[in-house]
Amino acid sequence: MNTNRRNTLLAIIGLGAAYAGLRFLPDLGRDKLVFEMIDDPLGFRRLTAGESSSGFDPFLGLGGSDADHLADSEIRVRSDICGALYGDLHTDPGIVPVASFSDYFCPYCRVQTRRLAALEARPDSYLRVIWHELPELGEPSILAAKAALAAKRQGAYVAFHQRLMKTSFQATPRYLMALADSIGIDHAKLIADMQGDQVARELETSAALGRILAFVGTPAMVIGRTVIQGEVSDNTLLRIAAMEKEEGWASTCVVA
Amino acid sequence: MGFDMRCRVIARSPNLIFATIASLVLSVAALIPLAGSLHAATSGIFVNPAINARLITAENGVAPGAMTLTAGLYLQLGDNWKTYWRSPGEVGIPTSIDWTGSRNVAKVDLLWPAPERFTAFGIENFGYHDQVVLPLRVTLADPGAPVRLVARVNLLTCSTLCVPQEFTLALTLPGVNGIDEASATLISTYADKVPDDGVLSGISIETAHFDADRTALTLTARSKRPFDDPDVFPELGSGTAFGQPDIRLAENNHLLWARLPILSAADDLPVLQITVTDGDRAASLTPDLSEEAVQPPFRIDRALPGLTELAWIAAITLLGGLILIVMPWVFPVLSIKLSAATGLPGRLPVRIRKSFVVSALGVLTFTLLLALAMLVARGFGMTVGWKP
Repeated sequence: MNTNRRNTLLAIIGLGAAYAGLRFLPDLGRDKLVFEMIDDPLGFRRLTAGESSSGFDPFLGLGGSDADHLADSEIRVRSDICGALYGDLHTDPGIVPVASFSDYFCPYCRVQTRRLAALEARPDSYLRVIWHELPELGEPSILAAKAALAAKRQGAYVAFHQRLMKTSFQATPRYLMALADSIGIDHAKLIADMQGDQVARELETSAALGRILAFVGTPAMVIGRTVIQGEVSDNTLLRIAAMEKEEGWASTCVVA
Repeated sequence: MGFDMRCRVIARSPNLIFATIASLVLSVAALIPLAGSLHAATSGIFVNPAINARLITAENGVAPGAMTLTAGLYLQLGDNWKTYWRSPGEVGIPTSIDWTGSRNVAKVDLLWPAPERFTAFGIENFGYHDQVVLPLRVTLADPGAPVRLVARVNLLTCSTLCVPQEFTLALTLPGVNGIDEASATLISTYADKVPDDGVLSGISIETAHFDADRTALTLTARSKRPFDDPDVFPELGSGTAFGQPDIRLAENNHLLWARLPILSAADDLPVLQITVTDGDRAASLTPDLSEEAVQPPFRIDRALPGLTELAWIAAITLLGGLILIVMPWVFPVLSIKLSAATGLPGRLPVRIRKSFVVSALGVLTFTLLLALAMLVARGFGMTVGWKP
């Protein structure tokens, strides 16, 4: 009887230890997040741990557009970086905005788009994704970006990208019509928006943000005030989002 | 050393404009060829973490009367970085070179060594990793006269990040004789990897057939030498992408049968070109389309894990269970169970046996419930795992 009781006690201690192990061990395996503060634009920081984007010169895009135009959009964006990144969302401290920059011709961009859309769609998510296109890979990539942004104007950005996952983008009227039909958006509006000023301006804004935040390529994202380039896990992403929420990312936007 | 230090200043520079200007100056400085040195057969080097690029030539100078030169764009890629073939696959951009500014150059032919297949993030891409030399055949305008090559290179490098690279490499060759052995060897190594017309490689394509609604390409190829580790890269213009091939070998590996799904087809299809690679040899061929698809040489039944694979899974599961049981907090529980089951004197062995069976069933049910909960959690998009 005595042995039995001691065994029960041991068992309970054992279970306690196992629980403690399960509860706290994953923390030991976590990498520490390392940030580097950015001096310009002030208030932003860069995730540097395990990052693959250091050592490059900031990329200025293939085929330069005219310099004055670039300078103008850069001045406009600098006056309100958060507005350029997050649109109207930067006034709500209850959410954490994520600006996603991608290019149709970059393989890993598709993964980022898919994962961010999935994270945003979780029922308990406080992330809001703002989709930017950063077409740096020549004319086809600019056309694909315009089509994506035009689809976004009909609330079909993610659907558009998912549809493109299994095809090569072609900027032919027939292709765009079939594509618009298959994701259930208005074809005529898609074409009109692709050529519209608003899409052009959106591309300019994203390009200016890319230059100001010194992206070296695509994909890139900005969570709150943290700039990330390269692969990060969902968990790291969520940890950063939680930090941004806790630390009040929106204060950066007030300063700017 | 000085270069290195200045780079560090740039990396931490607070001022973007300064950094950009400084890096431009630096890259221009790095790109200015060794114009003064007469026997340089390589250009300056363009370098960053993704790529290390330079222009090399087999000749140290232009021999009297020479009408062509053999050159190469040497690319050394960083860990996990890739660059693309002339048909990059579903996405990606092939390398392009603009020769404007070159002197005594009539034309330059860029040759493409046989590519590798990369399947990353569910996307099929064809290209190169580690190291590649794109051989260049330079035709001179004025035979035997000095040559200046100015290559404005545009290429895409991707890892989990896509970084477009745009840089200029230049190289001047005086009118002298001489071979740069190292460069010549390097170029010819990669020139040998450029797919041929099937004569030397012994590869020919027998049939190629598109489905009526262009959903798949079925082809058969034959080789004089048995195929070892073949791959198939069809090209049909930039608007058409092919999925992963189902390749089957027959007739003692002399016959290759392949079927590739077509992911997207352009409206007007150019001539079909198929590159078949097999180890060191490769052929790029333009077959006539056949009326009928050739049936596969054998059927592949459902893809189940092999017997050895299953045995491994079972062994590892058993080991895992054993380790769990031997853990100090589980072992005592077992003894409690054991004493409870056998402890009372006068119990029938049948009853004892039954009690063990029921316990085992209980354990199984609980484990299944756990597995089910995991699957449900995953279904709701939760991450189930240990590592952050």
